[in-house]
Amino acid sequence: MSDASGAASVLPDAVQNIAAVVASALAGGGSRSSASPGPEAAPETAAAVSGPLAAAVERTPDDPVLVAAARVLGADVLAPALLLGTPPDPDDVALATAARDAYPPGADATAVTAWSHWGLDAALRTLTGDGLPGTAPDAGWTADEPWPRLAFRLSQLASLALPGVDSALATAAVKRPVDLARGFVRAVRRRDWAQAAGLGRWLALVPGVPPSLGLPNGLAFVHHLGGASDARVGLHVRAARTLLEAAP
Amino acid sequence: MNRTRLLHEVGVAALEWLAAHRDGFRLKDRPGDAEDRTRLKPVGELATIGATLLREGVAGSRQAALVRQLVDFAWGEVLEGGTVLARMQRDEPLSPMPLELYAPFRELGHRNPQVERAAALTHRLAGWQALEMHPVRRLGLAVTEQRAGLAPSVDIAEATARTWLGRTPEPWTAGFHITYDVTHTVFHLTRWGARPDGLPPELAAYLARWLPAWLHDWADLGHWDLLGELLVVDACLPEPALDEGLWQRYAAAQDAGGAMPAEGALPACDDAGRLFDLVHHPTLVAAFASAMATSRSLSALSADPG
Repeated sequence: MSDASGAASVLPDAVQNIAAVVASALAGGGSRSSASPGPEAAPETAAAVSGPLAAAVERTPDDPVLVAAARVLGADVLAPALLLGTPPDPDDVALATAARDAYPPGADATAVTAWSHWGLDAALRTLTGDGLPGTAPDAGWTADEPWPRLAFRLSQLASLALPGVDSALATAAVKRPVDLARGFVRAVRRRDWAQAAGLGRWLALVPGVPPSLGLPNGLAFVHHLGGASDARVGLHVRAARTLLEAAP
Repeated sequence: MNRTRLLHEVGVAALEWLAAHRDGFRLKDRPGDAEDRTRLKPVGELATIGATLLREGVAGSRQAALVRQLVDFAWGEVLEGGTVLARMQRDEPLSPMPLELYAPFRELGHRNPQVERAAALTHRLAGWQALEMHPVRRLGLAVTEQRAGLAPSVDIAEATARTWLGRTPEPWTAGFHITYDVTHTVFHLTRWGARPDGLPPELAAYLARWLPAWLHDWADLGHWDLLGELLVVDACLPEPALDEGLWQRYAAAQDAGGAMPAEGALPACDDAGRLFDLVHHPTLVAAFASAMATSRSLSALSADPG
């Protein structure tokens, strides 16, 4: 029994570990020495790492668990480079490439699977300039989904809320900021921190978010209550803050 | 079922239940007992919501007669033509409760000169103006004063600005009790739906934006009492959503006998008095929400011949 449960937790643990490292890198702004902790800064749990993710999570670059975890995180394995404009570590690019190539979506893949794969590929193209754009998955559903479902599905694809990676999802998000904001409200009320953080990240990217939402404080609140138990919450909140700081 | 019929039938069933259980509104079990004043709140709610039903005129003639009978019963038999309120005023001159209870009956044509004299006298006191109150209740009292023909002791706009809704805070901070404060702020400002334009435009805009999130949240949690109040708020907005999916869920929660559970399913309860205590409020709210929403749905139909 312990073997089975141990194996089952390896991937989620790896995802959490990588997410924590990415979040930390985002929090450090790529250069820890210049990051001055303001009154709102949460305590850092891991040092911002310069150097490959594999080393930061103490795995070999070709470790299948590492590659699978990178596939789960999608474009977020490259989030520091994409959000901070720093050059990506070549080993991380290799890891992202391996994750993309090892797990192509099947014909019957869900929108989340297909889009996160597309996002990983698009992130790689953006950073390396290599390759041709793949066919984007269907995004027709974004026009018709009632706001609760739209919000939930986009929250699962928050790794695509990136500057410089245009997608039909980002276009859809731009069209429905109030609906995403309603989703954020509902997610916080339900204490669904993962959904709230993902939506907060989209909301940080798109214009037209109602000021009465109180997004910056909402992100701090979500991080405070949900960040400790889920590193992906911290990653999305850090990404959102970076996006808000970069906003004109 | 078309939407208007769906909205309407919730109220018809709720009213039938209230009429069949009207003895639950009595303040005492037997004529010789001392009156239990903790039971007064439902009587005030009955009058307020009864006034809405009569005003909106969307009930059938049977429903209109039932409402009138319920209100007359509450005034004549429960409040003894206002004598119970006058007695309360003597016992506790500075309590705002008798006036709050009186105002809706007065609007329905039930008057008691003793109650009005005592209210006018108390209203002049600095101690009345100085009563310590939760902001939404202070707003409610100011509106009650107006309804009872007295000058409001606080400016309505100022009282509104002090409420939670008046400050339009982060919508994700609205918890259970705050959401009830929001619904009541809207009820007071619109005079229980009679004057939707009493809601300042900036508050109407705030609600139009965030109300859907709250509606879905409380529907998902199966809290029918609060959902019902929020559906009233929706019907008070300049452009009500009258979301058919939410109304279907609300209607599905109603018991076959017309009672609306406060939360989840109707509790199994053999004690009729206890059951009344548990469900009279959500059932009154169901009648209220139904009347408001039906009225708005009919206005939309008549305004849009297509």
